[in-house]
Amino acid sequence: MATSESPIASPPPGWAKRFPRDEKVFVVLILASVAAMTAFSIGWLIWGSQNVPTKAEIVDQKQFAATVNEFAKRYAAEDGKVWVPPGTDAYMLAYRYGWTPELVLQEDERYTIWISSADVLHGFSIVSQNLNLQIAPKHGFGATITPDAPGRYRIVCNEYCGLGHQTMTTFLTVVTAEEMAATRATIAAGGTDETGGGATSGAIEISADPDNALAFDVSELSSAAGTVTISMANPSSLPHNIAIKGNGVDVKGDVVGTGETSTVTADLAPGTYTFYCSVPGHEQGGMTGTLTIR
Amino acid sequence: MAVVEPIPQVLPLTKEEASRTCPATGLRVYAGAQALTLANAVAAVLALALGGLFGGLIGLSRSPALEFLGPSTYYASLTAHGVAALVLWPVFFEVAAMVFASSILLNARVYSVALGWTSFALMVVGALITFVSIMSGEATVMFTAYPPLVATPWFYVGYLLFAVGALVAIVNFCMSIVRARVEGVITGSLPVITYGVACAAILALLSILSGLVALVPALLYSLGWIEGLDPIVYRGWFWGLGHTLQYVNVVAMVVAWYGIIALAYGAGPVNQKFTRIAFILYLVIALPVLGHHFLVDPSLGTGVKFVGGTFMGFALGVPSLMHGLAVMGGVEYGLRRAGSTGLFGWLKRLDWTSYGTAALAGSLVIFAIGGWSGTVETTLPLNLVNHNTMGVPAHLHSTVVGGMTVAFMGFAYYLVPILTGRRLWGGKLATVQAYAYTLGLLVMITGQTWAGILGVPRRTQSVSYGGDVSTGWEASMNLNAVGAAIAAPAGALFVVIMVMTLVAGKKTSVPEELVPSGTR
Repeated sequence: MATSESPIASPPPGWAKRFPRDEKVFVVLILASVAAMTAFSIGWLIWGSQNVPTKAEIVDQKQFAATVNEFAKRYAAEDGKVWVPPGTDAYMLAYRYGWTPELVLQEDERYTIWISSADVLHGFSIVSQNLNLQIAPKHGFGATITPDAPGRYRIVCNEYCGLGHQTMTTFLTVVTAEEMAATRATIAAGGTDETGGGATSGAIEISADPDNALAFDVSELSSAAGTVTISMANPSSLPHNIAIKGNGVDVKGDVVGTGETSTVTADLAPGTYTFYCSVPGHEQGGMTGTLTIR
Repeated sequence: MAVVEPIPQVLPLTKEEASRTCPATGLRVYAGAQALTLANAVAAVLALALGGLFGGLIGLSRSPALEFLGPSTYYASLTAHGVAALVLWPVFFEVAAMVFASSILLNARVYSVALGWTSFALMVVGALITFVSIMSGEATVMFTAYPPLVATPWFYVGYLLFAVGALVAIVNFCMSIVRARVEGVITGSLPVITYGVACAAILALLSILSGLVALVPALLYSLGWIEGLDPIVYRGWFWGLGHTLQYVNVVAMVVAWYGIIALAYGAGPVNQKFTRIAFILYLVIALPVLGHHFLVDPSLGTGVKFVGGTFMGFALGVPSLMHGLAVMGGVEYGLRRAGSTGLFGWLKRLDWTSYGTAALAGSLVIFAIGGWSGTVETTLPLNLVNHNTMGVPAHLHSTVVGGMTVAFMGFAYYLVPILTGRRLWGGKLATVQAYAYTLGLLVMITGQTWAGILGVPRRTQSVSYGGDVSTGWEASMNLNAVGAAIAAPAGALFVVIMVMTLVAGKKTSVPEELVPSGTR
């Protein structure tokens, strides 16, 4: 039976010898419930259909960014999304404040998506699918998923990463086998020619070299006359910006660090301009190209 | 109560050595111990006021119907809320408890009053530096400050000063007990409360040492003296601080439960050995359980994640359940002995209009909810569902706020009158406060749990994402704001009652006025 001695005074001697049966029974019951929960959880790991990914490795940040770029270029379709053929590992880079590239997967196929961060900690969360992963720089996480219903799923960052955290989002699209095959066919037919100077109307997206070479990923751009915006992603560890000069125009975007994007906007008449990085030495080092306005 | 022999004095008494006998408890209260306990308790209440203010603001601003804070203000407020409510408030209160349990409760003096004030000064200065750096907008990194996010060096300097101050308080606590033993003031086993606080102090020591390993490199990184801090490694050391500190809080909460039942009902643990084993279990399990922070990290293997997170997380339920039985069973046993009959007759003997009963019931109920949600979240496959969603704040608000803060409030309603010799100001207002706060938290936790199940990310200023997300998130986050709108004013009422008791509470030496009974 209980004793109920005051907790604010020294107990009478002999307390250490008393441990009544009621309490023993209670302890056995809660230990049994811990054992049962542990057994169920182990069973879940073995037979469950949704478990934490087990593929993880230390990665070199620049190397990983280059791999993502190469992967995105190889499988990009005209819509700018990356259509991942079944059986291929996908790659995704989290940066402040976005995800690249935007993936399209085929339903009922098993994919491993390798995700890492270009800068700080991020959280990979597929909304409504209850899949949440911690993403860290220098650590690649290989999440194996089998999307089972076509649709457009929102991905958000759920680890605080800076003042723009609430804007860090993208989509994951799941399509049927027919849609995947049709789009894959246009890519195979050479639908995307990255450096061909294809005319873009207004908004142009380019990237600095992820391996810290002084170069952009394109050397020629073209656009129709009017308001032209160039956004340059900077996956490298050097500071870069994007600037336009020529024919009396001289505008510069902000100098940005790893994972950020520099943007410049100008009203351009037809003619030939130069786009370049205005960080001292970079243009001279090769970070320049020709912008043709028709 | 043990009879206290006056300590023979050859030299004239210094101010700190002057003592009085508490009319309600018969405890000998030395002036130095009294002033130190009160100072730390006051700092704790002020920290809670700040934490609650920012908590109310961010809770309301996360309602999609309001969203009045912009990103930089929101994230700075969230950082301030975390630092004030999760670090400053509990640690100041625990230092007050350490001084109380190692001196007043043992009828003894503090080992060194000067050391006590040194610790207090370091903690206050550290807290101020960290807080000002957050308010300046130079430290918007959350209370976790995961690198490579980087704050001004002052942020880490403040944290470190605060930690060193707490370390000094732990030394003073241990030495006070040693001194009481050496001088023969205590001869038997330590009272359960002092024993529990000692367990909290040991956990706090582990926690602070781990914190130094995390924060010193973070400071050097912020100064630019070292580079390439791996955030995953930092997370390990940080949570050695962060989660162990939460178990300091849990142990202190349990101590507050025992304090409330002793003072309000004259009750004690159902069995001394049972209670002490439960305290020791926290020491064994609380440190390795930090593994649950890594459940969905790209680092540890599944085996380590399972044992360190899931299994240890389940095992942590054991001591908490034991204390739950010991506290409620102790009250029941005491009331049955006093004549209660029937299965639930003892519940009717409790005075449900007493602030002790209100706070104890609120704390037990909400902490139980928090324990369950913690067990769910520590399950490896379920963490995949819950990680960094609003489910996490739901868990920590039910443990740290609903459990710990409500228990501390209830304990403070007894502690402060004992320390000051003043009646609690406002009478039954304290009971209203405890019930209203509990209600607000229950509503808030419901909203947060619901949001967590839907996948709403935590720590995010706005989840509208340009307005095209049709996930049904709005209702749950609005409910969360309703809870915050009830809890924040109720929390402010606690601060008002404390301050008014200190400045305007009626001086009394009637035991029943200082420590009113919680039974009918």
